[in-house]
Amino acid sequence: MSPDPMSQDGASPESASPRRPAWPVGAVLFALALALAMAGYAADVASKSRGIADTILIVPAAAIGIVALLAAIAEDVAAARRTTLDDAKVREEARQTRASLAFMALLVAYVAAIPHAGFDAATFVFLAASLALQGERRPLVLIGFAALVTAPVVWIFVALLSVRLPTLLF
Amino acid sequence: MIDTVAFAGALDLLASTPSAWLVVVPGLVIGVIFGAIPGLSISIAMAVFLPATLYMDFLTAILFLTAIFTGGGFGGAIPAILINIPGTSSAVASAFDGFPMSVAGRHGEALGAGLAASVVGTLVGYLLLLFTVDFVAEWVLRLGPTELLVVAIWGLTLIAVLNTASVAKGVAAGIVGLLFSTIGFSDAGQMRGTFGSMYLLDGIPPIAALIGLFAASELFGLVGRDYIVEERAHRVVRLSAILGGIRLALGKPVDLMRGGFIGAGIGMVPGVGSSVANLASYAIAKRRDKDPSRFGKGAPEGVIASEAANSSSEGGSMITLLALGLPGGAGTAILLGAFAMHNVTGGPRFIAENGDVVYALILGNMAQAFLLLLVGTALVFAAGTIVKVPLRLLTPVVMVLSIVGAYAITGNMVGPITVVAGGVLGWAMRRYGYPVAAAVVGLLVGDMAEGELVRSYQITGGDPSFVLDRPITLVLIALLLLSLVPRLLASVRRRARKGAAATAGASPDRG
Repeated sequence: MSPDPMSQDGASPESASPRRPAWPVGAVLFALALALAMAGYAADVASKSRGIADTILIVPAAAIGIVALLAAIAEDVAAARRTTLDDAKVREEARQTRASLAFMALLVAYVAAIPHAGFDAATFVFLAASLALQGERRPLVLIGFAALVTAPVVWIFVALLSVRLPTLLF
Repeated sequence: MIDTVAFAGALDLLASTPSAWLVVVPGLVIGVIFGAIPGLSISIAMAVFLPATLYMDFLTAILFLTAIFTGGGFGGAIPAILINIPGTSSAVASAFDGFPMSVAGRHGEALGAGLAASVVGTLVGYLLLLFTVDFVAEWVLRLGPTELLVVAIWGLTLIAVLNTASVAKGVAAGIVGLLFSTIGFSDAGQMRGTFGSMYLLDGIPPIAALIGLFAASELFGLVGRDYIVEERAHRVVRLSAILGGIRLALGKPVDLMRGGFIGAGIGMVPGVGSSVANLASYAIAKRRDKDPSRFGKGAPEGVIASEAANSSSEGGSMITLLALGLPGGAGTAILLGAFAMHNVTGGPRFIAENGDVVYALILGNMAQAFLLLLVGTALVFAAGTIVKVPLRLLTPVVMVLSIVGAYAITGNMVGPITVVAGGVLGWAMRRYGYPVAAAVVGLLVGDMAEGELVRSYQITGGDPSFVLDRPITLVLIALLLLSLVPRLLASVRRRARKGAAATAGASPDRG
């Protein structure tokens, strides 16, 4: 994930004038990454094409998509130049971004762990960790919440609906 | 007007499918609760519960999902009225007069009026569908590959262009979805974008991607965020006040019907769903009122207009979904996902061949409207508690349900991995202002668009002048271009205004 300019603001709460990014770095990198992916995909499909049916939608669509993304970049840059940033809002957004990224990392770890640790164990840890990530520190609440949710979810899906999830205990 | 044979078949079908009735009340309850909790949305509820429909037959599955849709339509109004935070984006205008009514101690009345308006709105939307579906079914059968291609492009363009983000971002998002839909083994036998992985041969699993893009991406943004709910939400709601509100709303049939028709009409257009219907209906009601100054200060007509419209837009959007296989927004996109899950293809032949199922869906939804009256009244008593459920507990639980649901659909880890990837992509898209719904619709209609494009090419031999002999295609192309004009004009006007503002007062403290 591209770093966002908002989260790069290192201003302390006391500083009166934080650095304000002139470029919407995250937005531009995201649009460029999408444009590159579209171009790469269209080129790959075209080079291996077995007939026009393979490329008739993809190549023109990718071309329109790339033009749209370049226009979006121009819009974002123009909008950033017009905007002045509010310190408190920047800090709040940075905090929210960090929380979102941490939760994403936790989810990636959870999904990666399911085949190895089992759905039950991974879910238990994921639920407790998610709550901890949001500020809960009482061990009884963490464990109690994780157990109270994991047990019925595993029971409903694995025992009742016979979803063949790998599990550790059940 | 109504195909009586299919109608009778629908009655038989509903009578012989008791499971269809068992899921309606739970669906409505889920919808009202998800709608009422600020932060969670109807699309999260529908996406998370979509895998549960794997175990239902087609009619039951769609009735369950539309029950969530209908329940959510009213649920969003609860926090809008009680605490001035719309539970969903389609209840924004409901807060304009609902909250002032609440402040004045008329919260029970406001909730009752909102509930009655939601019920009548849902009925109006589906009644319109009931009387038009036969005509529409006949008409859409005249559409050939070139016409369907233009319809698919039109639908996708409208969704991309008629959003609150920029046109460029809307188009880019739609194309991201379109290109995703082409990944996998093509009709010509090429492996496209699979990176040599056998898991991608069948393409990206659309339901898992949809869960990721709609649900996971929003949940990422909700972490660590709790809505401040004031104690006021604890206030007691009396049955007499709710009934008073219902009577009040029913005593204003003109407002109810106007809201209902506006919502259904707006719902039919892809890209503008219940949120726009809600705001537009409020604005029209205010403009047409004898004393518009009452609006915003607790006029029940404001709540009635906005709630009737967001509920009736559901029926309107079903016309486009059933007739053309085109989803107009998040809710109908998930319904189209459910169609795919049950191997049902929406589009011109669907209504003609499944008239009984379509009528059963319409009748089932009209019954849902009446059930909403009971479920809504019962849940309004718990409203103070529902709006206070801590989001930090719900976010991880809903995420786990998304993951396990995706696994249930694909039967392997491809589902959960797709949810994570879709979630991360969707989060970045939301963050940088790209409409996620456009990407999902692109993903869902991509197959149809590519198929019709190839068929059109084969018929015409690649000669574009062929369309000159296809009057319906020409009319559709003209409509496509015409429908873009208002948005393009608005965009040009906004840009001119911004340019003028920038030159007039360039901010001195810009970094």
